[in-house]
Amino acid sequence: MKNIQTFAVLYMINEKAHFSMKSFDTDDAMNKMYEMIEYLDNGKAAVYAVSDEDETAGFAWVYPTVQQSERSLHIKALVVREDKRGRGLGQQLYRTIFNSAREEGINIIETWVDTGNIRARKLYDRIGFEPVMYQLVKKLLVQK
Amino acid sequence: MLIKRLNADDCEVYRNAIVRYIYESKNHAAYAAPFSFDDAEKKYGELKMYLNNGQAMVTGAIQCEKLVGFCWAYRYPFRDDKNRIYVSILHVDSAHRNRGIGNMLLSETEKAAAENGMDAVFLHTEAFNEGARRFYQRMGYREERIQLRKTITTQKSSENPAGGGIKSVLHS
Repeated sequence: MKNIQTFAVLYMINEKAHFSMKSFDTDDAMNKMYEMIEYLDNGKAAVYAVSDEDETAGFAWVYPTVQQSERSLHIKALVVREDKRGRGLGQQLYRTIFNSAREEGINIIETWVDTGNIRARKLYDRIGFEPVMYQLVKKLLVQK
Repeated sequence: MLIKRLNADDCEVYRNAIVRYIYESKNHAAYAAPFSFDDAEKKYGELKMYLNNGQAMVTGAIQCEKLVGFCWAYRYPFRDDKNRIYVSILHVDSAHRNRGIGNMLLSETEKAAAENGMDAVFLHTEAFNEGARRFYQRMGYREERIQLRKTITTQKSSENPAGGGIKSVLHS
């Protein structure tokens, strides 16, 4: 994977939504990408990139897992560059993921989405994903 | 009704009830993975181990010397929030529900968490379990993430999935 920096930049977009403040920087993203490559090399993950006008515009990182004793494919990250959105590139990535799952004989696709990520939730809803689990949180009044 | 933190010795006293509650709570799942009594016994072993090394926080509801509900929680970071407590199991005996026992167990867990300087308590609940979701909402919990799932047909899509633009990244 030559353009690891391109992927790291894309991964940053993905994580920016997850990590509120300072805590996820370029180094973290690069380390994540090295981790991803290691999984790729061990055959424990698959990565798909989508390009638009000869530029890498997005990518998806998936790996097989077992959920409630059924084999499923977990989408770890799926991101499309902000300026390349609305062109169906995300949907292309999903179709590719679905087809590769079929080839592996896996028919369950699973992922987590942040409640506040309305755009992603709408897309997931449109392509037929359904909620199975909610992560709930209660902030505590810390006694200091 | 007595709500109290349980140590490993306390857990031994209520061992049978705890194993049964673990078993019941794990089998109350949408995609009923076979979770056997042996699995529950193993989980109980883990609970004791974590209690002994100080990583678990177990709270019990005791009535007439019987354990009628329990809560198993432990410290677990989520993203950049390192000071979080994760509720692994909160279970009340079916004969003792709707009496606020779950509320008391969870409140006690939250109180202990706050006293230990934690800033949040989080947990997972299944989408089909609307009663649980209402309960947690009443308790002041809000949705943070959603796990989504899709079952795909085994028939390969006839459209060209790649659309020319997709490539699989196989080598580093």
